[in-house]
Amino acid sequence: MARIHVEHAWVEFPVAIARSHQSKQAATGGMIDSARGVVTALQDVTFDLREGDRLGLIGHNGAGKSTMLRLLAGCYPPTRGRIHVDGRISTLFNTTPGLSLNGTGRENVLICGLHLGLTRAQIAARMDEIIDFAELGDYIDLPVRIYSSGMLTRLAFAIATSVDPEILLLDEGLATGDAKFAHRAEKRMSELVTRSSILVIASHSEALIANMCTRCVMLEHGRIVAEGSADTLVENYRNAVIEAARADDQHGLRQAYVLANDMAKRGELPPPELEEQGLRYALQLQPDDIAMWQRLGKVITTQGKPLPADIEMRLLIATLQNDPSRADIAGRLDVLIRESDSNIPLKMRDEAKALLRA
Amino acid sequence: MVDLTIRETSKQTGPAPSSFISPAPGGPFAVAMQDIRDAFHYSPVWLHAGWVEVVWRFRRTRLGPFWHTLGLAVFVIVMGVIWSKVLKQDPVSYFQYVSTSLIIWSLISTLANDGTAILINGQYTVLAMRYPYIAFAFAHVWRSFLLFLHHAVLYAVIMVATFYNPGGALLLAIPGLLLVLANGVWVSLLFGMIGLRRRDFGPAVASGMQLLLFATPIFWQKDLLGAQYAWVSDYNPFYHLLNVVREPMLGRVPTTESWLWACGTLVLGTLATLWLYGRKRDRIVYWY
Repeated sequence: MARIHVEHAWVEFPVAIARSHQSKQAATGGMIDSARGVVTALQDVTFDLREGDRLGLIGHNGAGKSTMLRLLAGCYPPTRGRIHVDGRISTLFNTTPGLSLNGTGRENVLICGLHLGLTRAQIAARMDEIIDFAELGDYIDLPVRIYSSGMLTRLAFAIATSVDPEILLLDEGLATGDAKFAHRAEKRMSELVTRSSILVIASHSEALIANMCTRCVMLEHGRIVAEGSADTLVENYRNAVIEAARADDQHGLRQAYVLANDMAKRGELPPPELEEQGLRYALQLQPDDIAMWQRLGKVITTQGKPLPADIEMRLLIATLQNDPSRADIAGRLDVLIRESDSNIPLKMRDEAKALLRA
Repeated sequence: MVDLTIRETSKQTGPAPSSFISPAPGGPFAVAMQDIRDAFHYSPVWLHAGWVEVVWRFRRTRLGPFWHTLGLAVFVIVMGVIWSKVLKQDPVSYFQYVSTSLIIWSLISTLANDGTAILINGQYTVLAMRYPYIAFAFAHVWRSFLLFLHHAVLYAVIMVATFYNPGGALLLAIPGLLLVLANGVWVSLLFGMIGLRRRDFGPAVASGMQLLLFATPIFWQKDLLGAQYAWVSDYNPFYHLLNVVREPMLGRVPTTESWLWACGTLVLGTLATLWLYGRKRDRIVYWY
């Protein structure tokens, strides 16, 4: 009966920091406590996972997701609190146990397989399948030292997924090479997930978490800030980000941009509310990108919201510059100038006036 | 029915331990004993790792691990010729003495020197799974033993070439060697822990072992010290460790004193190391 029980667990790394170096809280990473000389990577974490639980960990880079996985794997003993794990564990982190760059691929399959608890006979039986899956061909008998990073990742992935664990800990952050392999990797991973009885997966992709997981935990600066069922948590998280971004919170804006970008990369259309905030962040970086302004205008109007005067004026100016013969646009621009909305920067107003005169 | 369930679970469990509480419960010795049990579960891993490292280290060389043997052979021949003159010794017996001493000393110094890096080198494993650090010490001792066997070829060649038969006393080399290897476990574990925590420790041990090479009766016989300075060797644990293997290999029976010293360092060293290990086991990973 597989089970993971975490009671008030802390993970604190000892570090030597000069006290003078104290500064404001970093955007990512754990809490730095210079007085005690520790970085708190995980803070007072408590949860209980039983057979059939699929837990997703979300949070930005440095929020403590990987540390949490290593805590569950037994690599980092909690510096306070306690953790109790029952069940055979397999991990897919950025390090593979026993991997040595001097050995050939085949030798590494053997030694890593032994580390993961397979017997020599089991490894021999799975060898061909592992080599096939890793798409290494004749490279399998060459030293791992000369592999490309993609080959190395594929090999590590193939080995780690060849065991039948009761508890599977996955760090999704690891890139799995080209799109074709990523697709096969996803398939193999979901097969593995169905075979294991507890899954913990760390990911940036809330859609993946929502698909795979039954529960979800959100980490920020090493603390669990939200907990719940996978889909509602992702939904709530997204709403919280949008809310923060609307209030012009820089972190919220950036987060909205990251979320929208992640969805776009996966080929999903971000909801207009999210895309609006993401675009606002992007426009801070690229204020002269007119295509982006047009997209922002479109996203705002599709939500049925009125277009702010400054955005409208900017779009009108751009269109008029492109095609000076449009009398309707010139008329609308004239109206906007007369309305003298306080949101419109003076510089833009002058630009519009100059354009109308010409 | 009951029988069947038991078989079912034992098949499921596999060779690796499948349950843990962290931080490890119990006193220092209980924690250490649990890790020793885990390390035995992982014996296929470190037996293979120790062996394969010997293979990997010498990959792409023609002589492989015998490079060490050859280097040692050249060294022994040069030293044998020159020092037998300097020390006015019988060349043949001095030659046997120096070569045997150096073969054993290279085992002892490998155990201590390379022992300082065993935990540092285990980083990838330790950050990917819960692994008993003691298994690194086992792997290291096993690897050192395999290298020693390569050197032992030189011993055999020299003994045959000089028509020397050590006789039945040679059998005593087996318990002697076991004592050295058992001491090697605690030494490499202790040195590995210190070497991980304090990175200066590795170079310091290397210098220390260099010094001991000359301070221990290896190139010279102990009687050359004379009665007044005999204590320099009498209180040198390395001298006694060397002796429990060297004496049998030269056809003599080691003194009771040497056996006692070797056993004493084993017991005291093991107890101290296991106590320290048990106390620090859950801190070690934070030293990386």
